[in-house]
Amino acid sequence: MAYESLVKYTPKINQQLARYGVKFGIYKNGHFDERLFPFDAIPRVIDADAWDTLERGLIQRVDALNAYLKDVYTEKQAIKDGIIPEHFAFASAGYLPQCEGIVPPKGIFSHISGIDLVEDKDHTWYVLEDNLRIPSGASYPAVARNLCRRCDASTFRDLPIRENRDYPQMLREVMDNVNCGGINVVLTPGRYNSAYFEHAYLAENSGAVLAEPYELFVEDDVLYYGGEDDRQRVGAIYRRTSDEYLDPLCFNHDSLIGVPNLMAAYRAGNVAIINTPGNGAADDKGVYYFVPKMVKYYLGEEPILKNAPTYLPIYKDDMAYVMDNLDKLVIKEVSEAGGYGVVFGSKLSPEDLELFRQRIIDDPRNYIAQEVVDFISLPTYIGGEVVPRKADLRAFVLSGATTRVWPSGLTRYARQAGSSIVNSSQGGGFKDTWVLSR
Amino acid sequence: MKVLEYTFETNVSFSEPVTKHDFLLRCQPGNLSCQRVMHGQVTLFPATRTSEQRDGFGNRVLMGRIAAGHDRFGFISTGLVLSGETDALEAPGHAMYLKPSEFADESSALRALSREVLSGMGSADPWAQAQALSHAVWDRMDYEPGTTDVSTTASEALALGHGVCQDYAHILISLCRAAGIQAQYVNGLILGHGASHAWVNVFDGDAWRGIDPTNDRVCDDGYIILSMGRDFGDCPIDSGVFRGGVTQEQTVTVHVTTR
Repeated sequence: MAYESLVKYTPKINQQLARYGVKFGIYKNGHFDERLFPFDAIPRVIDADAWDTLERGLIQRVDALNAYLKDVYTEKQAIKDGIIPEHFAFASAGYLPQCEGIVPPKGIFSHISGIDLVEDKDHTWYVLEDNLRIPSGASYPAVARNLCRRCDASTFRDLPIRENRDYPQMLREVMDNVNCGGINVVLTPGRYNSAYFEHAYLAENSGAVLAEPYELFVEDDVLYYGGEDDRQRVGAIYRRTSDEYLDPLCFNHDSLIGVPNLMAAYRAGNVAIINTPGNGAADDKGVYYFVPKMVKYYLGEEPILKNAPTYLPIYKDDMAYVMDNLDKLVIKEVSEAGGYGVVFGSKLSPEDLELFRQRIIDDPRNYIAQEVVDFISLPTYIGGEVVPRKADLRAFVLSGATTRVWPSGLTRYARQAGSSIVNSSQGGGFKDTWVLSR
Repeated sequence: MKVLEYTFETNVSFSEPVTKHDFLLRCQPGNLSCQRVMHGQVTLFPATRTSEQRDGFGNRVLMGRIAAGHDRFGFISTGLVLSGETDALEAPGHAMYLKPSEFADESSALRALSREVLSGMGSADPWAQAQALSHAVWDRMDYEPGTTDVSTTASEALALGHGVCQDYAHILISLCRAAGIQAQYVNGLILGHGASHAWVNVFDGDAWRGIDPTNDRVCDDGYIILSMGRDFGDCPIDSGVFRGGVTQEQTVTVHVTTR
């Protein structure tokens, strides 16, 4: 196999990743913990034909999601036409009425979309989740690729592997496309953020300024970087802070974090915010159910990518099915992210199963249930041997002058044998993703 | 229908000069089906350039920044409003006004009170139900300034049994939403002499109608709307962020007369 020569470099590459500070942090129960993100040198390999289908499906899906975001904050036609129920669209915690009526520069809402997919045993890809707020992780495979090439240049010379180290350039094109005049800035909440390494890497390699909120201010509806006397106008801000900490005068009045009146500069059309605030209205675990319908409604096309079979307990038939099959389904809390609030019915004790049954009955809007997709395991080098581990793929779709898919992606694998939870916050590791050009 | 002349003045004094002061004000009435602005002006001190926009709720917002040190900040908003052209605010309902929000939250006590008040009612008319709920708030609560603050939620205020107009409004909103009635928070000015006021708009199926639980009455043409949202957090009249560890004192005066 092509990767065999790479396996022996796994410890060395992990050492280098650690030295570069390729880490992620977890903030949980009031305690900040920084961990290494284990890298496995055996890549996921996607051949050219499979990638072609994935790419078309991802572009289609993200174009539809962008159309929905524009609609939900302006005309609301899909809601009036009954495609998405009103109480669903607006009860989503990610819907922010503060963003009503704003059409961002060039009409793009989700510039960087992280679409999480898994491959079934019959090689069908299923989308498990759309991440349209601040999806992270593109830097890890880009950095790892670089290290792998150094260890084993011949493998990369001999195989038709598509380049993935140009992600920062793609990001730059996305920022330049919507820039309203001025510099590009990557806004980080600071070094205690779980993705600080990535913020610094992306800023440095895309030619943007890495800034913390206190280094930015708004005057006359224009965003500036620097001090009162040595200011530079900012035309696009790739913010890696969540919506609620973006502007203390708009979203969270208790917070002192953020840039006061950033939303006013944005509403006035003087700065592009990447991704736009309020995108949670379209990546809610409940709204997910409606994405294939959005593809048909906005684009008039048949969806190329499938959702995992999903049930919404707010519908009577779905509720009945969920109640009858709870022990076989995955139960997800709509309001949770990052692998939190995901429970496998098959792993629950009879008492806990009853508990969840009651919770779903009490608050059906807050839960979805999905069939367990029996997704494939990838060979993974753990503890000196190659063992199978379940793995997903986060594909990155960049919406600039055109919508493009980065020909790579973050493949995350579960730490434990048999586990399907691949989130880094749950102890998983990552792999590079090789897309073959022929 | 009345022509109302309003003067709304807010003064803040800081114990030490503050710098890098960003502010956002919702201190001017806007044109709505139930009110027409004939004239309006805002004077700020220190004198500052401002920009004006409409926020996501359609409220008029005034924004600015004072970088240099200052130990006083204030505004005077004055004008003339033709009020009560129609008695209701013609605007569509919205599902977000059914959902508990940060300050108009939910609790078992709020749900129980809402059920208790409405259980004895023959009518399913949302406007009649909202009035009954409003009366219940007035009945339960004692008006006591200084016992709650801007971060007090509806459930907390109900448990305390006292508060100010903001608390009355939040409780009524929560009671309405518990009963499936869309309700929104309103900041504004009322005829007479005093401070700014807060009340509630409820959606009766066709339009929004105002109820003032603090005064146990339905709003009439003596009310001027400044801002609206799901609760106080969406639409405060004045908010700001500045540098400087200081204490501040604020005085607010409102005069509204008929002309």
